[in-house]
Amino acid sequence: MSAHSLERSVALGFWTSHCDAMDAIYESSDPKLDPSLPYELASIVANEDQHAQITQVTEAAERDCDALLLMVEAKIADLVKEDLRLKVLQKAITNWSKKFEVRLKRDRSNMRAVVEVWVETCLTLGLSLHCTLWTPGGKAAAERNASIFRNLTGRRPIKGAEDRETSWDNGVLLLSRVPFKDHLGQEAIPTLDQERVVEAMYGEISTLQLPNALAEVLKAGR
Amino acid sequence: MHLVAVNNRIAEFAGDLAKASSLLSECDLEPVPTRSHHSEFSMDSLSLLGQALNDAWLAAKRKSMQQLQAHRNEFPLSPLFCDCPLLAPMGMGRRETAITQVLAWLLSPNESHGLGNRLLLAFVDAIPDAGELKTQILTEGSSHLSTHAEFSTADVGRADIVIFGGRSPGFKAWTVVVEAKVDASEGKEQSTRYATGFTSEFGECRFLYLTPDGKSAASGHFTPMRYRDLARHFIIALKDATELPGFSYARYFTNGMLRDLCGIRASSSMDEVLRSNAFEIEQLLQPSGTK
Repeated sequence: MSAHSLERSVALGFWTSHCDAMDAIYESSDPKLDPSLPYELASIVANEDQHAQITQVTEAAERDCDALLLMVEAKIADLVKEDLRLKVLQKAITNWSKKFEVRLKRDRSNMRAVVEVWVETCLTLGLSLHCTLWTPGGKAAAERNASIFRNLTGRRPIKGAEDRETSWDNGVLLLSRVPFKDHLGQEAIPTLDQERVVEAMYGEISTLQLPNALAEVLKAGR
Repeated sequence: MHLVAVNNRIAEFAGDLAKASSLLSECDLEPVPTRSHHSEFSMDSLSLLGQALNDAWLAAKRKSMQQLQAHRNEFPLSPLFCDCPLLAPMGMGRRETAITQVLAWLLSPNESHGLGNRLLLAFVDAIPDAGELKTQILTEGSSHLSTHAEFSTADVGRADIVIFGGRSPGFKAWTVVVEAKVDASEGKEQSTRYATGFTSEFGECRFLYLTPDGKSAASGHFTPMRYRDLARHFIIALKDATELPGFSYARYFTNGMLRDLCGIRASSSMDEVLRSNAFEIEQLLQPSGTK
């Protein structure tokens, strides 16, 4: 487990507080030249100082998000590695998403499970940290995996098509979601308490008996 | 009723904002928790930026409310006011191949949907500077147009959608190649390979890179296009097509595009739609003729 700790993030706190505007600006290819950027925002980015600040916030948010996800991913991967039946392999990453692949040791089949942690704006919850599980096999696999979690823990993770907050495909289970707005400070410009976000996510994942569930998921999918 | 409720909420929010703003001006903006990035930012300037973004959000919210009300009056059956996404119930709301298969079918003027070339022209309207192409389609008619999903060419790969036109006598041949992305990123040199391969096989082509956020492809030959812009032009085109056989199908598909690919809360409930990102709604419902 990483010994590093996370700082409170001004940038992610600011982004969470102004999610609609920051998302619209971030998704614009070039906010200063993009004709599709709404007039209200275009007039803000036309101001050199404010444009520089938005860039600063964006870069800091990407950096903070990267650190937050690395921390969450490391903690969950360490938890999974405690199960001696499992091996963990790192996968491609971005600033807003990290994932690792889990396989059974000494298993020659191509069965794998991908655990992904990522940050995305949800419809009602705003900027949120997600942890999802994917295995090959589409809808049937998601159904089977959900019942494994339900038998082990009595809890039933959300399957892809059931989620009203964000959209994803079959084969994916939502293990946990932590909205950032639940962990904002009380300052005039609220900061995001990243340590609490990590704790909240890790706490949820711990109750799911993830290593054991993953071993069962992988065995069932072979 | 919806407008009154939302107006009340906005008034309440504006009141809170004014209180927060006056508190902000009174308090010392030098918070110093032990581990913090505060030193990186000028908190005064950040506070001003936050205020500006809030003002912009409020203005956009008001504008989007008016736009939505006008749109509902004009087009009550709009895909924006619908609760039935076509692909999401099958768990395919973000499945690239399912989306492009349906899209190719809708874009083909000769299919059984009966929408003719409406949606193809709407698609062309979403392409920047494609006036000449539109004129060609209108002049040539639909009989010689062909649309293909998952179109393979040797050594190049499979393009998601390819549209061929101008193949009738007296017309200039044209080809549109669409590479659509949802969650996946571009394959290694994918767009460069397509640009080279398709141009050498079919001559001059128009390449489009269709994504949720309008990002650019690695190859400069591809023009970026957002699903939101496509949905916007589909909505405009469907307004006069409510009696046609394929209207409901296209409506459900466009509804799914809005919900699953654009993050817009398309719904029969106006309150629900109003909870979408106001800036996105504003862009979706901007008057036709603007990009």
